[in-house]
Amino acid sequence: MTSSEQNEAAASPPTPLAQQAPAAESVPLADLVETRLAAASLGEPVKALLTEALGSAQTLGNSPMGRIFLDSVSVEGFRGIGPRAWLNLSPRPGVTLVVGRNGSGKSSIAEAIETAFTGTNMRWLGQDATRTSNWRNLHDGAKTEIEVKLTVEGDSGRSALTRAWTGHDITDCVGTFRRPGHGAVPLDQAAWKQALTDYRPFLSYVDLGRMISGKPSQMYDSIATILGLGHLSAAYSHLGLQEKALGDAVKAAKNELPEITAALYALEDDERAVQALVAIETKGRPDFEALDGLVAGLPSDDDGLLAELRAAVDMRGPDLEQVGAAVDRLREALAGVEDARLTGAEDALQRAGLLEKALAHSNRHPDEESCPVCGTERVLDAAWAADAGAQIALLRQEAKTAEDARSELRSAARAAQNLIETPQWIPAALTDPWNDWLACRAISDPAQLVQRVQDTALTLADACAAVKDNAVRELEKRDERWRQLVTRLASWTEKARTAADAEPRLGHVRKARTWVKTLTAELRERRMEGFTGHSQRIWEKLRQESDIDLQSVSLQGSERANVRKLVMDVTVDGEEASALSVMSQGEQHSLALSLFLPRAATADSPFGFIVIDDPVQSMDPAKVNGLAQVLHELGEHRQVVVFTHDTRLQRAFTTQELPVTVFEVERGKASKVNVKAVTDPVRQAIADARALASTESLPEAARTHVLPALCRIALENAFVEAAWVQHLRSGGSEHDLQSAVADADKLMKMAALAFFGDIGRTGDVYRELRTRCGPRAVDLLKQCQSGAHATGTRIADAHRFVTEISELAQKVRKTEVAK
Amino acid sequence: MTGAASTSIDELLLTADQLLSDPSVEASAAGRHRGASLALRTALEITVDRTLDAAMPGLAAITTRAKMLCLRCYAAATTARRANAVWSHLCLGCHYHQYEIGPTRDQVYSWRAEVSELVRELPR
Repeated sequence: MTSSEQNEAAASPPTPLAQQAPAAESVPLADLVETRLAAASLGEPVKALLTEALGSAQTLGNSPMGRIFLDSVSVEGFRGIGPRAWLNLSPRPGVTLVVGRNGSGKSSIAEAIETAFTGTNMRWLGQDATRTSNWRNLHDGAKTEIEVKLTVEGDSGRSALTRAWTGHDITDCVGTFRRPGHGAVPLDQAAWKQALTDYRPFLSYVDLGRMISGKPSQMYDSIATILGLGHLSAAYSHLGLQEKALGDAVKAAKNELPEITAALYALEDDERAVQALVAIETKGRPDFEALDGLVAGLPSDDDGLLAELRAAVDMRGPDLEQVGAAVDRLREALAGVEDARLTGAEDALQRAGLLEKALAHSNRHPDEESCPVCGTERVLDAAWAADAGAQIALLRQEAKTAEDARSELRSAARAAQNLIETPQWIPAALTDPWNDWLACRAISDPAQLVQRVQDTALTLADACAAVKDNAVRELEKRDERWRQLVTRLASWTEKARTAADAEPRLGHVRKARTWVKTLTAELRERRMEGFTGHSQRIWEKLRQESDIDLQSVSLQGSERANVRKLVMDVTVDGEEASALSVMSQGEQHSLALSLFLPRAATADSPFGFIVIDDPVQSMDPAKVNGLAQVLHELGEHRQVVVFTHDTRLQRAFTTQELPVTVFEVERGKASKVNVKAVTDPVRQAIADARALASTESLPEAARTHVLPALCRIALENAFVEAAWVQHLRSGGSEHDLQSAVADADKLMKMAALAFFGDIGRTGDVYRELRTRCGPRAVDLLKQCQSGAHATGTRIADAHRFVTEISELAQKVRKTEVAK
Repeated sequence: MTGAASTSIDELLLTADQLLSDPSVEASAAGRHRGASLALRTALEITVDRTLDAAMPGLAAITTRAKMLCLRCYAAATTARRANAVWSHLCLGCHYHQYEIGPTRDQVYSWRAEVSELVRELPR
């Protein structure tokens, strides 16, 4: 390392331009909000609400796809362009100038890009039809078509945006967007439609003038969108709608409450009304279960008056038909018993027993024919035995009849008594007759029983019917009043239930809203600060020796206020003044750039590119240098395509050693427009190296140290380009890329990114380079590297060396990533 | 050599100042601005020579463009870039260009400030 290199490391921080990167180029809003939400100390329901509200607002601004860069533009039969003309760009951050004389067709290309995206053109808006009617090229009227090839960050193939015309009017056109893996969709459906308005990546001299001379409220709107808070404010209104709906529900229930309670108090003697009041006034939350029961008319299990009435209605006295049948049966049984007693059934049974024993005795002693009782001879013969058997059967029959009659009487009495039941509850009016009825169960004498059962049953049944009728009438009267109230109660209950569910939600929604509001205010201030800072930095570069200081830019009023305006505080030689009145046109134009370049560069924009047409017009020569610096800074993060007829801008880039790609537009016969590549950062470096190599009597040190260093820059630039291509294809870490740009070992890290998409594989670079470009390439790279060291490198033929480097650089640019 | 060079650098800067601010110098404003640019450019070139001399013997004969390219290896990158930028601007300011009005007083003043800063910053 030479002493001056140490100097360099100590004296200058790596790429100060990158460090000043505008604050607008920070985190996209959606990501920021997500992070803040995750960290917020809010309850889960509140967070869920916010996620939902933010999610529903999502579709408004942010595109779900990667950042878009311009790859190439082809234009046919449009404005000043006849046969198809191409402009091939590098789809990555960096500045490209498209230069050409007035009328060369360069503005037609710029307008074509805008028209491809938006279907119209700022220059035409509000113009008379005669001015816009010549949009179709006169030389080649057959076909008008614009095709813009796009590289979407992370996509492996290119997307294409085509706009073709179906009619003669400028508006008769259809835009189609084809993205690999997503098919073709009408442009209206492309995700970045809204973003085209919000971040408008097209700036021309004409619309810069129009923007700056717009109404204060219009300017407010065009700046407010870049703060990217539309997303938040959409979520805020979404939550606002919810808050209103929930608040209304709560209010509805609350407003009706006094009326409904008054009506219930009027029905104080109705248990249901009392229960409803108790349910309504339950602490915390009304007892909806009880209210539902009341509304549905379900019986409650209490023992109030209403329950007694209902029980009285359901009261079942003795069933007279059954009682009658039982009494009849009892009477019959009594008569049967009486008959049996008359026939002497008992005696018959005993005689049968005696005869049976005698018969058994005679059977045991078949030879003995005399009676063992009276001693009479020869009486117990076979004829006697047969007669005795018949007697026994007869007597037994008689005895059974008597037994059956007694048993039937017992059974009939039991049956009659079984009809007597004790109910769970006996109304007071029925106590006596019911007790008399119950007393029948204790009567044992069937004759008495039959009389009492009949008497008490009749009395009780009459009493029951009377009580029941009375209860039914009473209930009906009460139900009528209740029915009138219950409909109202039902409707209130529904409202109150909604309100009760709404109340905790309302609390959450309010909290969520407050959170969004606070965050919006904070972000607005922070982003506005960043934006103002960026505007001021640009203004400092563009104002040069102007006396006007841009003190601050602020948004006055809320987004919906009628009086909202963009306020630009400027001072002229320290005196406060109104911005627009004190500025020359050139200065106004610079101010517009100061305001709208940061807008196009905001992190939320899905566009990686910005197209600027003719920014140099009416600018002082000194301002052009500042403009080149501004564009260069913007080019660190954005693909900046500038169309200009003014050669001063290109010169401002080269004299300030700012890397730039330049195309020249030339117009041939019959509107044949050609775009020719003039230079780019690789060629710039090669041209420097070539200039040194051509220097006569070049000192030895310049050859051993300076020449390799200049060549190294050419290779670095080639690798940067290849690394970007790799990055865009496979969507690697942009942070790695940006950090490698600032690294002392930039060349090797860029090569590792270009070859492998992996900043860590610098060790494999030489091997990969040998495989791809041959062993000589490795030698060349090593020579460039060692030129930076104290030893330097020995180069025999300076011109040949530069040529070889140039060839290698071209190969590197076309690098494909290793599989 | 170094001493003589310092003197002449200071003298040149002084000359530029006089041309810019002293109305007694009899010349048109445009002429005085161009003259000042010329003085400043020479001062810058001497400063760059002074930086490169030590590291690169035999430097004297090569073009200033080549010197500016070499300067990148012997001074901080930003300083070298600024030197080249202001040198390029001064070159434009020294010459008559058909479509451009000459440098304004403020512009030359800002170059004057830049050159004197570079005189201090460029290593000897």
